[in-house]
Amino acid sequence: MKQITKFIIFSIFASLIIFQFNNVNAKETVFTATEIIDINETTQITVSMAAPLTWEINTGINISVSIKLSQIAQNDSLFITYIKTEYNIPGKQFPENQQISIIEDNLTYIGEEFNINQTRYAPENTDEFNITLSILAQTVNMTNTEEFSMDFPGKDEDNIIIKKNLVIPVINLPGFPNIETFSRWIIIFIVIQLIIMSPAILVLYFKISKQKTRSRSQRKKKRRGENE
Amino acid sequence: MSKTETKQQSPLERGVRKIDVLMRSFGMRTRMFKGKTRGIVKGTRKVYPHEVNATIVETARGVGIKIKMEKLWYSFLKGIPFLFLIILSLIQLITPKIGDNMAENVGFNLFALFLGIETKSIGLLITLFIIGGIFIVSEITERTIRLRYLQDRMPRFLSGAEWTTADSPLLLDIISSINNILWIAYLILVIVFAPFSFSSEIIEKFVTVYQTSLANLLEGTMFVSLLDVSIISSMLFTILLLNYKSFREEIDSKQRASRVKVDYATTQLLEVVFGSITLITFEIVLFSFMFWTDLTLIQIIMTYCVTVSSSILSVWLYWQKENYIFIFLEIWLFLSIVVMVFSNANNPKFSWMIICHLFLILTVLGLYFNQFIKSYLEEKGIYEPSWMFNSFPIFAIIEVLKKAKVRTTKGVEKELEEIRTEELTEKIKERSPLIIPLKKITNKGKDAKKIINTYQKIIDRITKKDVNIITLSVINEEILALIQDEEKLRKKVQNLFQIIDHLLWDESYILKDGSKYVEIAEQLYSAILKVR
Repeated sequence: MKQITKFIIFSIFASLIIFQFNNVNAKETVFTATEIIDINETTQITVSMAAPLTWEINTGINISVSIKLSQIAQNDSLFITYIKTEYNIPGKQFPENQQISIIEDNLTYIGEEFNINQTRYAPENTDEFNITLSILAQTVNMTNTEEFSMDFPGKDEDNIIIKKNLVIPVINLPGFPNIETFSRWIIIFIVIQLIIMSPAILVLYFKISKQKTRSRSQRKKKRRGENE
Repeated sequence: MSKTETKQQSPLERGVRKIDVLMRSFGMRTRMFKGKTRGIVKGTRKVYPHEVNATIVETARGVGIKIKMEKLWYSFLKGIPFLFLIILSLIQLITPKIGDNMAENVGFNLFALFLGIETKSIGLLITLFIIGGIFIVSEITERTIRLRYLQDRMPRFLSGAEWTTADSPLLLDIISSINNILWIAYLILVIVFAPFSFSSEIIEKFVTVYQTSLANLLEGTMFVSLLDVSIISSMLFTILLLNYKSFREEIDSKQRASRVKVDYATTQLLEVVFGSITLITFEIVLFSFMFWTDLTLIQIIMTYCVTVSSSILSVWLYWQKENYIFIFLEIWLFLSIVVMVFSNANNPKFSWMIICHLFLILTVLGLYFNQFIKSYLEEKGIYEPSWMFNSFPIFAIIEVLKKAKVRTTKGVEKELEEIRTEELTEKIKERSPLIIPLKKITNKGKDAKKIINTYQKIIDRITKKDVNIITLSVINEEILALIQDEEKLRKKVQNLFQIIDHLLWDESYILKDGSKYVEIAEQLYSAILKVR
């Protein structure tokens, strides 16, 4: 018994050490997307939005938006009414989770900046998505209001990935594979198991056939005894 | 056979019996054919069609023996599984789309199942040829060496047999064990990677169940399968090689007695470690073309470390009790499931291997039952470890179907002992100096005395020591070597030696054409004078 407990302990340590090596998580960093938007011929703003590219579900994610006035005509000012975020989920026609934050702020001189931090939650029922940020802005000279938008993380970048089940389950064991896979696999498994076990099956065959002949001869002996 | 019978046996019969006993001690089944001056003993290795043919001929001087290997092509049967894979990969190389078409129609890709998902066909073909070649060549070498041992134990004149120890080279045992374990590892890998060979629709569903990507799942599966193969194969290898070693020692009890316990233990350990490293090298080379297509250097180093440590552990377990190794394997599979379940919480890449390990526990149980074939064959008198963990026991099946009766080797030890004591008395006779009965020889013919006298002069030129039966045959060979350049004379001299043998030992012989042989003898003497 002592030896058995010894190698139970040994195998626990060995497997723990081995699996530790293989389990390194990359740390999440915040990604910043910047875009220059022309409001009209004389007015230009630089919008940058920062958020991590991997979101955890059911956890508030901090996104920060900054709008900087980079060009404007004299005696003119830019009025921002609101900013709006929408989630674009691949495979769905319309954007979801529209959220509007009313700002109503004026930017008058070049270099003036407006910052806002907000909390958002990841959409459910999807693995990835991207965000469209829309700004409703208007200069004094303009007669009509217009919405200007940018994409986060941007057209050249991958979508935001949603990391699920990090907090809630301790054990992630979805169980047996789907029926199609499992039914095919179990046949392959049984065939190969039979091939591997063929020496054992052979011995079993030997033993059974030997027992049969033995019982036959015993029966014959019994009959002879009865006849005598 | 009782002792009174053996005393009445003629030299030919005794020779036939001796070679029969020897062959049976090597685990062969024998058949004997006896004639007046010639006997043939055919030895077949039980449950494996190796045939050795020994022809025993009665000559004037004693009984001569010649051993021949038969049915060499049987050695090539070891290449059948290799041939199967070679044919599959050739088909895949010629028509690369056949696998995908098959997956769409039937549901699984036969080529991906047996050759891996991302097969490197050309590399695989070359490796298969090389490894298959190594196995076949080593098999033939082992047979040749075995034959040499038989022949060496039976020099040309039987009564002078030397009982040297039979120690087959370790490397051949290692390669033979590798052949068995390599295929078990291959079959386990086929089980593990089978779901990835199904059609893409099925794989998609399979992957969604585990909420991860295919690449991620493959990565985890490959990592765990590396560990599995290195641990399982090195542990099974230990059992097989150490069984070989104890088998070899059974043949030679002398060898076992001469070894010191501690020293023996370390050599055993080193041999097993060396063997498992060779095995894992074979496996990494072969399977990196099939299943483990993107191995990293760190993973290779890890595999070697795991192999070395698990083979050391397995030798220690084997010394305690052979079956502890199987208990350890089951514990490893079970505990790895537990560890994988917890590490799966962050990244579901081990999901498939958790299920797979549940079933591999059954496979290890099957491997444990496979051991019984060894004890069963031993009951039948077949001491052959190469049957352990052999996944393709074709010949055993054939043997069962044929229902051939097997002559057991159980009594062999006793018979060998009998022959040994018999020999001792004969050896003394042989080693004593030869006294030529000249009177008897002169009765055999007119020129008989002349021939023998010249022969004696020639021998005096070669050696000054006393001559006996054994040294005489060596001297004859030396003489033939001295006149190697003169082809015609050499042939004549060979005839002369036969005549001399008859004159010396054959009592009923009468010499004809005596003057011709006197001439040859004198020619030979003058030729020898030139050299010595």
